[in-house]
Amino acid sequence: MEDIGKKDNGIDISALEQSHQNSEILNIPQLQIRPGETICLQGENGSGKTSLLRVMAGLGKNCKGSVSVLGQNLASIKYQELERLRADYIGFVFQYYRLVPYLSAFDNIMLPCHFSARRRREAIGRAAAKHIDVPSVGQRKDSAIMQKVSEDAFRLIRKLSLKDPSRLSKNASDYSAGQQQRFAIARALIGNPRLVLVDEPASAMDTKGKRAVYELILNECRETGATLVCTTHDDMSDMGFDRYLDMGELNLAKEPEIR
Amino acid sequence: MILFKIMRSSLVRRKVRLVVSTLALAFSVMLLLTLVHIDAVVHRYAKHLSASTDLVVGAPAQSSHLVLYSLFGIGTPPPDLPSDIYNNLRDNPEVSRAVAVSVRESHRGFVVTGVTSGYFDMLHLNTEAGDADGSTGLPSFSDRLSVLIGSNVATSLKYKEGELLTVAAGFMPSYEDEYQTRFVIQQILPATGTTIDDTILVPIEGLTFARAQHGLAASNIISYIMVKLHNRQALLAMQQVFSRQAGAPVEVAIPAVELQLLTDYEEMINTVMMAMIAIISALALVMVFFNLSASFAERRQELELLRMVGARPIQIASLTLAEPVGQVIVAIIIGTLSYFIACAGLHYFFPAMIGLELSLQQVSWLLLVFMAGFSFACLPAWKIYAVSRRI
Repeated sequence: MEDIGKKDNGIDISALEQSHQNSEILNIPQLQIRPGETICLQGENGSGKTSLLRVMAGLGKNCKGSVSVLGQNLASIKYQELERLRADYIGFVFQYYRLVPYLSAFDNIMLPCHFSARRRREAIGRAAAKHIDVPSVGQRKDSAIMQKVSEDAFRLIRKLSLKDPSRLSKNASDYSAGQQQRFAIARALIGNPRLVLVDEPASAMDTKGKRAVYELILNECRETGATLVCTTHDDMSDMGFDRYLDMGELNLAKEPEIR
Repeated sequence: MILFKIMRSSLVRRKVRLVVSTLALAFSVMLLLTLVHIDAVVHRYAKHLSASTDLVVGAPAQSSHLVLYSLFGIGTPPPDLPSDIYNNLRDNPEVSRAVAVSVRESHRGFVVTGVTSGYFDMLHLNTEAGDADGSTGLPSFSDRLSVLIGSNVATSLKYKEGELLTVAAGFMPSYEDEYQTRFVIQQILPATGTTIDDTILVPIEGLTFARAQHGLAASNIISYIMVKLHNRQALLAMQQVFSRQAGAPVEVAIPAVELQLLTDYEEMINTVMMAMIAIISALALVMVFFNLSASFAERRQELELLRMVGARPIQIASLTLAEPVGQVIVAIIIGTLSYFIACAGLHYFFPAMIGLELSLQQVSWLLLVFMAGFSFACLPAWKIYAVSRRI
């Protein structure tokens, strides 16, 4: 696991095949993503974007071929190592945000830092570098460490154009879809993950909100040197990703819509 | 800490279902403890009574009637019996103690029971005063015109020691039935939770004297005789002997046999009640189980999310286990506290229902409920653990 922290490992996929109920949904002969590169995966619904992201996150089932993520071969990685890889180094934004509905928005954002010491350290380091004041939040954890970690959460929330970042104590399910999506993004970005996998991050937002979200994700990843893979079916050609990949060309599967 | 927060928030979110299932389980726990306690009290009481009296001799009647009235005061007093029979039985060498009891008089609605000496010893009726001064604590009559009154009698009629009272023949007496002889209240007996509390106890010699003074021809009559033998193994033999030697037709009942029949009936009822409570408990546990299963079916996506942010399968499984186990523990605590409150309430009406501690049997039942709840909770927890391992 020592080489995960090094910044010279990106994603290396070769001869990837994934099937579901005897139907091929992914067939990618070769895909290399350099460390720190920002990739926009574009394609229609059912083109295999989400499936590919899930494979990169180690959530894929019935896969053949080689998938190396941050220097770790997912085919041979040990179970506990995959756990730590995901918790410490990968930030994931699900398509439907997946917040824990009965936890506060604040607790949802802080969730990865409760399970990963590395992400706690990174968040504290990031907040210290930025000298951020912490607004008062009712359900915030009192311990000194989590107090410092929360500073990074508030920094991200401010960047996500939330009007009143101090009001995060309501249950996540009480917020609008757009706001929930912002919380999910903040959750993925907190604690400087080495790889950020984002699945349709702004589908529930207006045009202005979408741009703010993409800009935040890109800026954050560039600041920290994280590798970003972002899927969308919107035209984001002017957002300044390093590379734009068309899933229609990348995925040679015959029946990609069956997932 | 975050896992505790997730558990707490999840429970709060399902609070209505949670409260209903917890209260259902708590209610069944309370019923279970109460029933076990009643069963123990009935058995203890029956054992105590059957140990204190080996035989009950009365005029010909149903033996169960004789036992029920003589030991519990249930039913009507048995027919009269000549006191000569008592004198014959008392002198039998096999008899350790014989007590004649007469139940023919009353005082302002309360039964007046005439007894011979040894009655209190036979019932093991100790008083607190006796225990305190180191004596045997058994109450006794100072003379033939002194009476001892039960705690309920003293409370109802506001009687104090030293006051005078008269008795009358029958239970709904007219003015003519009132005996002129005055008795002195010697002592107010402590509450026992038995029929003694509602009784006025008079020496049988005093009653005989009062009846004679009143001009009753049959002043020397009694209602039944309670007999304690030297050797309990001679029970059946002595039953035959007393029937033959009484000099008049008599019924000789064995309380142990009659009480065994009663406790058999009580156990039948108890078994039915236990079955009902077991069903209520099982339904409450099933409710807990299905609430949990339904909630985790809704939370499959949360599971994936928690795994993605680093929660280990064992942590997620612990969360799944802790919620219902916590619920079962809370239900057991509420049920036990409700049982104590119920016992305190019942104690007001039935002093024998003292239950501010748990017997070993009750603790065993609580452990059984907990283990059943724990087993129910283990199923979804194991399922969640297996699913988490695959993510």
